Amino acid sequence: MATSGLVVEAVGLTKVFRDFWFRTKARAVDNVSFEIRPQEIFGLLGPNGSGKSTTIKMLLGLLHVTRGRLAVFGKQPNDVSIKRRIGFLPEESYLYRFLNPRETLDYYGKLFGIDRRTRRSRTDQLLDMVGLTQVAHRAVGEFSKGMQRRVGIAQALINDPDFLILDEPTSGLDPIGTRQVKDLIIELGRRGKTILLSSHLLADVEDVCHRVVMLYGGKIRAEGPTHELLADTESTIIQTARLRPETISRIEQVLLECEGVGIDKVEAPRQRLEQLFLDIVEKARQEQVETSGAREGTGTAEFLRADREGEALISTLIEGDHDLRAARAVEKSQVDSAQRRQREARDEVLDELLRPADAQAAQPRAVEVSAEAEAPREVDQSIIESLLEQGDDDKKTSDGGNRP
Amino acid sequence: MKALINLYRRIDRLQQSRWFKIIASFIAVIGAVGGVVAVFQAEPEGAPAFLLHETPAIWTGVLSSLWLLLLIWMGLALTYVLMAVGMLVAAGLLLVVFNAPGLALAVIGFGTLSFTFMLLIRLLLMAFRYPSRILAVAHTVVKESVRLRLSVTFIVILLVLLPLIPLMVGFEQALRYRIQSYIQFSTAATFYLAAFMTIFLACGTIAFEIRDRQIWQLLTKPLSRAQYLVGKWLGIVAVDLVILVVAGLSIFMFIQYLRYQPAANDRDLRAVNSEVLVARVAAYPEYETIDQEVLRAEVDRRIAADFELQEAIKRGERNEMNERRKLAREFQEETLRLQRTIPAGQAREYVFHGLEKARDLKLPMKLRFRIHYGGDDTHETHPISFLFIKNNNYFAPSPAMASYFRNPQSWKYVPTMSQSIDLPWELIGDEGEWDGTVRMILVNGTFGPEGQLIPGPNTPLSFNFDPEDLEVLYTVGGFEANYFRAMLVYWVKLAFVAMLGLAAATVLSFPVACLLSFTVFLAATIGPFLAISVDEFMIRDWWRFDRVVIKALAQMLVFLFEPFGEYNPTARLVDGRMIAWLGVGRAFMLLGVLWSGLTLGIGYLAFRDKELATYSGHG
Repeated sequence: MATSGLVVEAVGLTKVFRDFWFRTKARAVDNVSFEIRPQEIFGLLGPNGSGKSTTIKMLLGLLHVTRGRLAVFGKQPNDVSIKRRIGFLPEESYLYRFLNPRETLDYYGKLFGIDRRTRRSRTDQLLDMVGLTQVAHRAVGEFSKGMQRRVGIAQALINDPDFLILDEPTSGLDPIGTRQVKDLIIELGRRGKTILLSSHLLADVEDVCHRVVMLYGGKIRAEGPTHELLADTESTIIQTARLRPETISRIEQVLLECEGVGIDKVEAPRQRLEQLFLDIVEKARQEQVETSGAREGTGTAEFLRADREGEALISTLIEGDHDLRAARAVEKSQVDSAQRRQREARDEVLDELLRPADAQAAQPRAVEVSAEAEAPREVDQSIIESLLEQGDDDKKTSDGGNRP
Repeated sequence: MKALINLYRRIDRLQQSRWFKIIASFIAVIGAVGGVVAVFQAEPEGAPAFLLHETPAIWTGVLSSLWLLLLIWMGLALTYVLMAVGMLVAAGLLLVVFNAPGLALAVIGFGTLSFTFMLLIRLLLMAFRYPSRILAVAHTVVKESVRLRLSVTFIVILLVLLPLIPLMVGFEQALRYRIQSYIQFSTAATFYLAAFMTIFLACGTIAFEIRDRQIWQLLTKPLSRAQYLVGKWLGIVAVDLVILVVAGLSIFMFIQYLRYQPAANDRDLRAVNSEVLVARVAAYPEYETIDQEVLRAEVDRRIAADFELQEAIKRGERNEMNERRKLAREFQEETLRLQRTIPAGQAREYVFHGLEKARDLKLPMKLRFRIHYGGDDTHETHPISFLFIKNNNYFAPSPAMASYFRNPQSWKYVPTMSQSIDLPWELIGDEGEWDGTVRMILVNGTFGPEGQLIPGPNTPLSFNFDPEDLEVLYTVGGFEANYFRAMLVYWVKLAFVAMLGLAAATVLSFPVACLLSFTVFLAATIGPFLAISVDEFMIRDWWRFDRVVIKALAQMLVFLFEPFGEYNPTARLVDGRMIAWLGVGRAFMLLGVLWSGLTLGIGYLAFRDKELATYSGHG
């Protein structure tokens, strides 16, 4: 098979399942063509039974192709040599119940022919990353589904794969794990890994994928770069600091004058539930609340990170050590200060949530905050006008303050 | 609880330290060897009898030293000491509270076997740590075998059963029968339990991985399907080795203990040392073969006498060549049977060849015989006589030998009972065509005062014997090496059983794979009996399709698996027969290489293109 530089090349891919009498049972994948380019995060979207998992199983040589052509790294999917470059997380983790996480990772590391020292080091880092170091001695069979999923994720990364295939990677994970997986995918993508992400959780795919294919009934229904597919060319969103009603009113006037359109909707942005949950857990963790389950991981394992020692060394050689350190210091300080501001703003809400129920009852303010958050849905025009007047004053002040 | 855990951690740190290991090794070797030497020399009252003999004392010293050294260098010495204390407490309770010394010893035996098993499994896991894909798979199979309920059940049953078998062997029996019974039960139990465990483990390790989809994780790694199968096989074969080593050592040590127990009488003791705990080879008499012309003439005569057969051949219902072959075989068997039959008051000469080695090494021999007479009533005895001829000479070379020449030996035999008489090496001929032979005239009856043949008083019928029931045996080796070779044969047989289970599980679900493996295993085990049954199973009505199918299936099983049953080390050990290295090599080549290889090939072909995922969508 000729090598085309593509990681995956599927042309007219078809998979027909037959029963014992060779009668067609289902046409799971029907004449599908797509390609996955190097260093791309590719999403395979579709509802249950749309052919996502079947496509992945054909990619891995677990199922035979009925018709069409399929090449992975330019070779047949059942070629053992290409498996060295692939990491695979199936839709469920399918682990040995009698092994513990450390033994599991060690076993799969051996199958990749990784030497003992590297295996041990990667196992430690991966267990740390998925937050299972504390329970590394317990048999996987005793784990919850989410904890098993974490072991599954770790095993998919043990060989530092060039091509990572993730089938429903966030299935069974709590929001912390989900967030970590997304961060991990982004991190690996930044490192130039090719990732195939199959999911029916659209938010997961939207957050991380460069390009997606949407399947339904075994056929491709849509295909293209994520930002293009999701782009709404008919409307515009401008996000800014909280505006007074008067300001909004004036903006609407401007819009009417310039574009002939009004404002469809004005609302205060809401914090995402995912973020709120993560913050609560973070707070609990800081208060050292005990848990017998998986702990929060420590972020991407060192051997998987883009800023590994070797790469840092190369950057140093190119840019000069001083510049690098200075740039990193500035970057770090910016990130720290942004995080500090964010955290201060959240702490008040978190304190309320973490306070016992009776204490919360004595403090109606939490409810008020919630009511305030709902307010922009029904905006009173007079309030907007008053806000717009204040906004004018503020703007003047601000402009004056910034002028040299 | 926390304090106990901390204490154990401290103990563990201590037993892992190098200094501890060096000092403990020194103490252990001195203790084990010194203890055995002290017992051997001082012969204190109440000491085990077998420790007062040189060979078992040396074995005990060496094995216990090795065991202790392994324990110490694997960092388990103090852990095992703690466990041993627990075990001794349990045994003490049985002894003091229930007054059951046998059970107390069985508990100690179970503990020792379990410790040894765990120790060897750890050793095996260490050996499989080398980063190879096949070894990685094997390593996990070893872990699986000791962590899955299915296989652990069989291992525990075996470890419990082995120390209990000595309690089941009747102490009222003669020593030789006690030893024979123990060898029979213990080696058979070990082999069958290991074989059952092997089938369950082999079928389970693949069938469950396919069912539970762990195989997706494996075969999406750079592991070929052939490597996967070989790794699984290697793992199971290694576990079998550990089981055989543990069980084999325990059986061996108990046999050493038994052989120095008081015998019923001198004859019993002689039988133990010359018929049971030895390795003997046998020479069989040579029978006359039928001349081809005679054979052809007899076949022609039989066809001419059978009008129905002639008509059937003419009508094309019977194939003439097949019928001729069948008649020839029948005639040959009849002729041979006739040569093994002696009418009352008559005699027949038998010549045993290939005894040069026994003569050159001056080895004492035994003539063993087992006679069938009439209805094989074991409550009767009948006279039987032997007359020996050296070269062409009836005269004894020395006065000591006179009884074997000229003067016939008269005995009584019990039908179907195996009996033997001692023969001196001087009987073996050394001239011309009689070089390396023993010539014997066997008489159904006795000699009269004039040297004439007289039938027994209540023996009006002829007697006969089976082909292998008249033989001259002589000792060529000791029990120890023979026992070692027997264990090797068992291991080779288990290796084939493992491959059989694995190959079956590549295409079948767990219960079906187990069923198929057990069927083949049992058919192979009873292969020699099945072969006889198939010969006797006549099909007279060709329209009985069911009987035709049964016979065809049985013939196929016999053709494929008969040699598996023929390699029966237990029967040879019990009879004190030599298991030759040549036989071990043949078993290895046939079962370990050819059969296992073929089974692997079939399994691989079925597995190579197998789709490991199924349709999981709608419809």
